[in-house]
Amino acid sequence: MVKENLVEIEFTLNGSKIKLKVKPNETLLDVLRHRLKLTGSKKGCNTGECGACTVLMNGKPVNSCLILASKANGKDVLTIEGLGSPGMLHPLQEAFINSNAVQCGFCIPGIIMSAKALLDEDPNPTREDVQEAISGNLCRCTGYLPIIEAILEASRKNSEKR
Amino acid sequence: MTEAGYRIVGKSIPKIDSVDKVLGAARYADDLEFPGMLYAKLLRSKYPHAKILRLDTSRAESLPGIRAIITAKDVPFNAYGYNFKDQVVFAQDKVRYMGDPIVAVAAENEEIAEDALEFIDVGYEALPAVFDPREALKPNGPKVHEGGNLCFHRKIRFGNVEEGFRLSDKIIEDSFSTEKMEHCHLEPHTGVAVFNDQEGLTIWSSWAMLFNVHGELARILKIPSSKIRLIHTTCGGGFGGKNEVSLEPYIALLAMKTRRPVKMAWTREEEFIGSTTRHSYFLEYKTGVKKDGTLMSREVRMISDNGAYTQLGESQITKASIFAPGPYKIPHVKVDGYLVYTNNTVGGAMRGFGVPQVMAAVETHMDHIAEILGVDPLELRLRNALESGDRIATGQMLHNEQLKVTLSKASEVAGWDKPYKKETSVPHIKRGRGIACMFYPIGLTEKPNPSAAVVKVNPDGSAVVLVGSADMGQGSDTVLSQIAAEELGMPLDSVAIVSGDTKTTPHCSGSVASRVTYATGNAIRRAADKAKRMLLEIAAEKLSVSTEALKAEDGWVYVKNTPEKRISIGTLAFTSYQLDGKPVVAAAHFNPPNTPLDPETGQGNPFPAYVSATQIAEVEVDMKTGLAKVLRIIAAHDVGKAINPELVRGQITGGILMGLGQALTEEIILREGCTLNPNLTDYLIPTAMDAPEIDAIIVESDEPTGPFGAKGLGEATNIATAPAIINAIHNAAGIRIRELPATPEKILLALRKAAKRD
Amino acid sequence: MALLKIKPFKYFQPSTLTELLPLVEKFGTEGKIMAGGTDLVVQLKTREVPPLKYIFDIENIKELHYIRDEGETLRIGPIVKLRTLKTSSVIRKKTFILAEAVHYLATPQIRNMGTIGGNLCNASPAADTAPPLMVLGAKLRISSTKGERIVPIENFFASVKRTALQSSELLTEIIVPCQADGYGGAFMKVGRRVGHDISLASGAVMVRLKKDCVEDVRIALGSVAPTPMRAIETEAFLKGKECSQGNIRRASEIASTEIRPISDIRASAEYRRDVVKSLIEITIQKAAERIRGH
Repeated sequence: MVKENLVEIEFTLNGSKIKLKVKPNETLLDVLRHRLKLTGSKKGCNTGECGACTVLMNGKPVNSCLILASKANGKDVLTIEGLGSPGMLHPLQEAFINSNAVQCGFCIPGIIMSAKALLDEDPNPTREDVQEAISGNLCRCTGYLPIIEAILEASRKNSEKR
Repeated sequence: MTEAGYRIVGKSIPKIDSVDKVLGAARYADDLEFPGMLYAKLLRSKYPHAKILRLDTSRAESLPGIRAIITAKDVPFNAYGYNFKDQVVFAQDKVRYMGDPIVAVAAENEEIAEDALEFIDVGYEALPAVFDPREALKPNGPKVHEGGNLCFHRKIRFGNVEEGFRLSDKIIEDSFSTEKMEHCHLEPHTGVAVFNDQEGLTIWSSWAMLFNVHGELARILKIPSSKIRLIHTTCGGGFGGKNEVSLEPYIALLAMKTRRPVKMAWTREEEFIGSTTRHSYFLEYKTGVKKDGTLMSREVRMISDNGAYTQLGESQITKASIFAPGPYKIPHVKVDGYLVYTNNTVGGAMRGFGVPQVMAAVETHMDHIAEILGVDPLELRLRNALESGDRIATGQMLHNEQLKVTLSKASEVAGWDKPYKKETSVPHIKRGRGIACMFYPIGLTEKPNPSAAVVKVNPDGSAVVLVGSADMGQGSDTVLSQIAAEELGMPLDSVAIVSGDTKTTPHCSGSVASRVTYATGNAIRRAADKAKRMLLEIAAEKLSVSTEALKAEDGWVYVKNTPEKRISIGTLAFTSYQLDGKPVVAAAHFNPPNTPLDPETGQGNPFPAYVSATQIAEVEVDMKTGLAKVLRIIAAHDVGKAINPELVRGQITGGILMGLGQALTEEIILREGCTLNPNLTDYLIPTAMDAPEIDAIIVESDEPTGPFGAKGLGEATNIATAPAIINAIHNAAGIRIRELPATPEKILLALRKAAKRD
Repeated sequence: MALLKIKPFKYFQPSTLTELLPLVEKFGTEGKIMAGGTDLVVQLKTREVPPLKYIFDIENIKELHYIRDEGETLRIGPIVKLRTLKTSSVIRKKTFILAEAVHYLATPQIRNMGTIGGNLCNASPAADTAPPLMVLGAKLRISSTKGERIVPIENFFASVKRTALQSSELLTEIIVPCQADGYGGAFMKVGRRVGHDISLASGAVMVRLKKDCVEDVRIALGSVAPTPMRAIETEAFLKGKECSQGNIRRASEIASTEIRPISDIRASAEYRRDVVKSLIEITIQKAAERIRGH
């Protein structure tokens, strides 16, 4: 029996600092869902292929099912729960609703996070840029087109604001 | 007002569950947690076919954290299956496929449950096994079940094919194969069971055929079904993969044994191995045709790999057999569909239920015929396309048949009559386009399949609609709310829908067979009409007119000719309940009319309505690597009335991508019964980068038998895609792939063979 | 086949090399080094890697994260993210073929976590950073408590998923000669769909032409042998010859015979032999165009 050590981590989660003791063999996805009850990030495949677990770490999309929780130490983590709120949806969330990009919804939190990272870096992506940015997020329901349209719509709305 | 005067039907209302989903707040089964919850895991067979000589769980039982272990002896009735009760909850004497469950354990956490499986001792005696359904049909081979490997034989006999061949100028034959596929709904099978004295057994999970599983579970557990409650949670997709019994018996028995909540979540790997799959097919086509392209005679022989158990296999091959001839008028048709047991993983329902397979074959075959005759593939289809008044191979006469409209609209938008530029700026990349069409039914095959609905109008004028139809993510809750609101004459906001609860909602035969809008929609209309009548009668009295002079709209009942004379629905409902003592509640059902097929001839009227579609694919083929890229799909779909056009469009775009996977990239690879690619790294579903541009054309008509003229389309959208792509590849590269999927390897090999011939 | 919870292990997260090296010296046989974890975490779940006693997470060792431009050489720390290889202006300018290869590697999420060192040390025959580093002539610095050694990348891969690293050693630097003047380079990979895929075959080419004669050519291929490999015979054939369609075609045929592909669930050996010809043709043509374009 290996004597495992608990690892103390401190990181920013959805804008607030949080301190936790995690087991080394826990993934960030497990910690988010089971310890912190943030169930918005989903477990679709558990091997980093489907992207349903995508969160932002230091602003970049990553598969939380592949990240050992201890790696979150010192990082800035954003999950779907940290984006928008009832009554004040993020422009991406609005766009997804209005473009009918949400069917079963299981892939949606992960895709929205990938989309947010894209628009933060490139406010005016092309269609191809969007396809590439969400290439690591699988969707079985929508055929991607309404999702691509939603992201382009959100980027257009953002440009109008400026 | 929308056209035809509808307020809500025909509008692209955003889905009523979208806000929760974009916030990450929607609760799927794996998001549910109960105090004291245990985690369950299954021990599955390591052999495709073996006797179980020894089963010893004692070492596992004594592990700390293990709370219960169950096997076949703990199951009151160890058999289930929609068509035939040939499947077992736990394998007892023998295992029939690699993945057959033998033991289930419940533990304090997932890790202990996993570890416990290592401590279970199973002694197998491997038996000779059979994996090719063509081999399985031969006598003297290994038998998967005692009765032999031919599970079912569907026959369709229409006219006299030999006579038809005699009358033909040319006879063309083709053989095809289509692959075993996996639904890959993003949410794996997950469920939680709770058992207590007060409520009996409750299971939270997601199902398309809630009441089917409910009935099966009652039989398996030998308790009255009224003591079992299945509650459909937010569902992360089904596509046919959540129609039948899966993890329910295990969590039910474990919950009943431990009196603690029990959760089981299948891994993605288990989805490939332990859940149902789309049947693979071998198909042989022989068609007799006149010089001018008129189809005279078509003979089809096909073998469908059932896997180890049947589930919905028999209904599936029946449906496949009906549609195998394609959407054409053919005076002489003979179809033989053989459903064959093997020791492979289990076939079940997957979007289209046998029809994506046969349509891929027949539409590629039609293109081949067009090539031989020197006829435009569109022209060949227009010449033979089914129309209203024609009879299909079961003898049923069609009404409201829109196939030709879809052929015209799709070809018009695609510019089919204009030349298509096949050359690109890169010499080894060639373009081509292909066309395919299809028709598909609404409702379960040849069996009664009712939906019931209850409508209650509350004293404030709002309404609750109770239906058994589960929303699989496609938006049925939204569409059904629209239908209810339109019929009741209320704003959409006033309508609340409760769906998918076997204790509180009335029966539904399933969110399957593209039937929910049609069957449940009709049931809702009937129930809503009954409820509305109660209100209209009160209004008629108060306004001194007959009920015929009244109309309900926007929350008001008013006199048609003098709309200022009106009463709010709230007032009427209050009056009925509080003053007249009559709560406004109404129940109704709708059963899509059909008749069973004759077992020898396949003659009958198996479905109440049909939808058709045409899809045209534009494809680029890299002649050096074999990689095919779909650039654009033009899809024209006949849906009757589009209750919610955006949701219709969502089915089109989603279905097309699934068809693209069938055409190019998806295949469960089995060798000696072992699934070699049980993961998304090597079972490749289309990504956003694979997505083509899609022109979705909704072809509307007024279906007299459907709610507000609607039919349906959930499955139809993934049926014409694969053959359109295969035909486009032929147009681009001159090679015809007859074994799906058309991987780059197959395409390159075909190109090399063709080059050698030339 | 399995997809299980990762078994417990003792986790080390040193912040310097001097902390790390004695740990791998002592415990390396019962543990593994982890950078991004995108390969290791999956392998632990599938039990491709059996349960470990120790994991040494090196991502906090700042001295392992750098890209140093030394004029004709770039020195890259092993924990530089794959994403950085794609976006870094100095890599795009001086060793473009490496950026080009990473562009198609997996998904954005994987590129944001995975590292160049991890991609090399995982030593999949399909590792997409290997062929470009091979044709650039990269060398790898390997360190342990006992000192350092420099290994040419060709000698780094021992067999499928096995490298020249001892259990007490760590890859500490990738030394990459910059693409020299007069050279054109190109990378290409072949997959089963338009979206991301593990390479069925991949190739990197660097070529220098003099009056359309091949003065120097380096070709490295992936997924067609147990390890990424240089196509030595193909290179030898092309050197000194005219860079013509005919010669390129003959070269591609030689490549097809000098590789040692297997048939697996992704592709057959026959397909790999066939498509590697296309790969050679296309990459050499592209590399030649790029240098002629100057």
